[in-house]
Amino acid sequence: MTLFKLAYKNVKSQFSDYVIYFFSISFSIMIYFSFVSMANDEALLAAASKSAKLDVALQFSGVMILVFAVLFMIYANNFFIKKRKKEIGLYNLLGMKKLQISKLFFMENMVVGVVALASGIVLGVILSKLFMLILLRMMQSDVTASFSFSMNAVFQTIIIFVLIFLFTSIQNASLVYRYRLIDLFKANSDGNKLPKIGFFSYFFGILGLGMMLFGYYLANDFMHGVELFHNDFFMAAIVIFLSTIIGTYLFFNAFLVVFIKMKMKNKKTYYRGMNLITTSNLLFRIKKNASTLATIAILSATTLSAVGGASIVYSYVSDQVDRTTTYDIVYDESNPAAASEIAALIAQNPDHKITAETEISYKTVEATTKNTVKQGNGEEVDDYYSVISESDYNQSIEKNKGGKKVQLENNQQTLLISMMYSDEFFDSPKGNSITLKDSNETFDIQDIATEAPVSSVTTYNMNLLVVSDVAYQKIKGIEPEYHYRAVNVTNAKDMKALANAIRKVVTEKVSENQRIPLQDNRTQTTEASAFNDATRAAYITKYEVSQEVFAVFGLIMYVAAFLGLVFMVATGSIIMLKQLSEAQEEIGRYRILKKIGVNRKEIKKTVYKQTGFVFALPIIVGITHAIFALRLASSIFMNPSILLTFLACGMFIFIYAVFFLFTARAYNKIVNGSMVQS
Amino acid sequence: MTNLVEVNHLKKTYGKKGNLYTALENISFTIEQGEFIGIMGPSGAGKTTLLNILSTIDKPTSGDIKIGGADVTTMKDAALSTFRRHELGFIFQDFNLMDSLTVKENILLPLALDKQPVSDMEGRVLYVTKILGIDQLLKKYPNEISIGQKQRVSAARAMITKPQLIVADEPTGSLDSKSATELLQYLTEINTKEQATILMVTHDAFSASYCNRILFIKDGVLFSEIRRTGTRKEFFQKIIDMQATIGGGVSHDVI
Repeated sequence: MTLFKLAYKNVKSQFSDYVIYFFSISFSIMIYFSFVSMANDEALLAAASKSAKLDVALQFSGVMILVFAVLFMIYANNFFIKKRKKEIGLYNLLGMKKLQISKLFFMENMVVGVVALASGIVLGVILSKLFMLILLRMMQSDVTASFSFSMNAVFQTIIIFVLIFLFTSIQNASLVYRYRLIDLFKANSDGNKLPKIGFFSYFFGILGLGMMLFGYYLANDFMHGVELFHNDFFMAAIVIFLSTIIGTYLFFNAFLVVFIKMKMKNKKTYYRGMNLITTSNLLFRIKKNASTLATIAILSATTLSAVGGASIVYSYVSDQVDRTTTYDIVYDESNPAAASEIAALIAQNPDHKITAETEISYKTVEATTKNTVKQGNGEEVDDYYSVISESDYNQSIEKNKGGKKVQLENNQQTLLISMMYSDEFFDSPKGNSITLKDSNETFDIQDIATEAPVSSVTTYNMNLLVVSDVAYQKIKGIEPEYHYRAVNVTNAKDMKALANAIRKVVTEKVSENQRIPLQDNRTQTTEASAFNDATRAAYITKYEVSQEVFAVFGLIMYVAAFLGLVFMVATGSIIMLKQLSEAQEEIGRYRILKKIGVNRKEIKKTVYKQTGFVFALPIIVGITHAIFALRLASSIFMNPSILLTFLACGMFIFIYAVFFLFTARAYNKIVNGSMVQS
Repeated sequence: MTNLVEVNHLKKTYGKKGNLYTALENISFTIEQGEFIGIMGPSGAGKTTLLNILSTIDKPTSGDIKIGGADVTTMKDAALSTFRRHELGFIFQDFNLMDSLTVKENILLPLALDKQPVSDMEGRVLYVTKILGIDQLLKKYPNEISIGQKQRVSAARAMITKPQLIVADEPTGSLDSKSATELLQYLTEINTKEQATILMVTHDAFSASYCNRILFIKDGVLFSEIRRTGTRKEFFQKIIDMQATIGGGVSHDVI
């Protein structure tokens, strides 16, 4: 048992080294455990079963976390072993067999692993409920989280992580066999090759910067960029990716080196105080770690883009719900029996009081207008349109939260409502004309709006035309005029019971799938009627729409945020470990500096500056990448509010900054200690 | 001759009560301006401790040291840094050059830390490297030059600020005999030409024979002192004899 004691003591005495590793692993285990717990929570699954494949998403995220954890652990272990080369050599000299040393390292890793596993699970049990509440909140679900402790999840987590620890421990142990005794005592003098810069450094440096800028240029005006590739959307995307990624590597490997070397040419600043040390050290570190830094830049760009992208989609969806379903309850009045029953249900419900009520009538026409999509050829397109009168439109807007009303100039003008419209992808149709198929009547498009007056699903098509009351009277639809009643109520967010009651009525009295098909009485088949199998919803509640939509997108947002979190912590830990191992090698150098008269404050400043650069460079490049990616995503999703994106990305950058502060502090502690060699 | 360094009743102990270890006990001596003084003694005699305290990187338990009239034992940390930068030059056994800096940058580092004008720095670098015969190596990096050259770069860095005292800790310890002889000749030249005061710790009698005077310490106390009067060869013989008396050093007498 002495070997075990030695292993235990080693872990204890090297706690400061292990603490980052330990923290990251515990964190990963905690997140993994809580995901598995949720995947095992019957109540939660039942609540979400309607639309989202919750368990699949949670299990998939679990696998992603495992992949991160394993990669991180392999990296960290390699780092620890390298650091302890001399120790292995010493054990060897003292006559320990390699098998025993391997056993020792194996046990050390297992000790750390088991403790991390235990604390990860304990934290997981404590925090799972919180995580679940966050998830339910994001899914806008009204399920009350009755978190039950899952033995199953505990076992699953233990089994998987014990297997992973076994794997990394074996890997650790096998590393011992790979070293020769002489290698173990050699100083770490590798990698101090000096960066010579020649023509190629300049060439690749400029090329790298150019490629990055080219990628940005394409992403910045994507539709224009696509044109450069003969409208091949996919090709343009791949070119952006490749040129940015390759550009990033060249940027770190060549451009930065050249840039710093150029800065060194200016002796006035370079030969001034600690600049000499800071700059030359920075050059060394960047040269030594260029590829790692570039990889971190790209990975953090990916994380930020994924989390930012998820929040953009989330915001878009939440905007879209507001845009397409503007009233809390909208129901068809063409079936009088059902309509009166629904009206009674709403009126008699004690939990919800009516706050606004309006009626809206639709006629359905077939019409032709120019397609204004940006990369299109502007051909005339035939489609169904629902027509409403100016007064209905304005009344529905006024009774609701109040939006922009329309004032049509004359009977030939129309307001086009298209929920798909965005400036990014469409030219404005203002001034174009639209021709009704059957009557050959022509309207001029006076303006465009993107918000449905009551709901987008109560019409056959997402496109609406608002015309003057006079013009509305004259229009003959291809089926009889139909009417909807739209109601706003109090406590609309918790109207589960009412929504279910309405659904029941509609299902029984109107149709099984709650939809009403278009009755096109005309004999000839037109482009639109051939293309569309049109139906409209007999009713809609905003509650149900939100439930369905947020169940999916809330889940996506949640998974992206938590995976990003695990990822960011792993990235931060890797830079931290790397920096601190370099700090160990630099102790001697800083001791010299102190001896020749640099004071502690100046050294501290240099340490913070250097570490700051090493941390900041990749994240700045990563953030810049992400900004361009997110701007593109944002324009695709009709520029939703970006508050959530800022919050999400800001949180990640904050975590990263915390890692920086810890690293700089620890670094300073390592190199700024006593001058007398112990 | 004026006294540059005055050491009075220096004492240094390590550890706590009950387990006290006395490294230096009641050491007093002076160094005159322009002297090339050696400190010798067997391993564990307290040479390094004495050197550390003289270089202001360690503090004595009691006693005081005046260098150029300033009492360094009472100075604060920041003031000491500046003092070291201006008044002391260091040559170490393992050179202690920054391998991320060129030879030139290594040498002018103390001046750069002082934020001196670039032209002054470059002039001074040229001057000292000419004396030490390394003016052709300025653009090279430390790992591109020989160890003898490295130690001369280290010496150039030590003297660039025209310090009052150059402290050399076993400067020949890592050198082969040819490089060591060269370095010692250069140090002698700095000593005579530049009037630099040099304090050298060594346990090598040959290196020590280049000094004007040698202090011997044993078990933390000043054991004796010898002064060079005749040729270097005679001085060398005296050193060997003294080492034999102290014991523990290298002796040509078989005991």
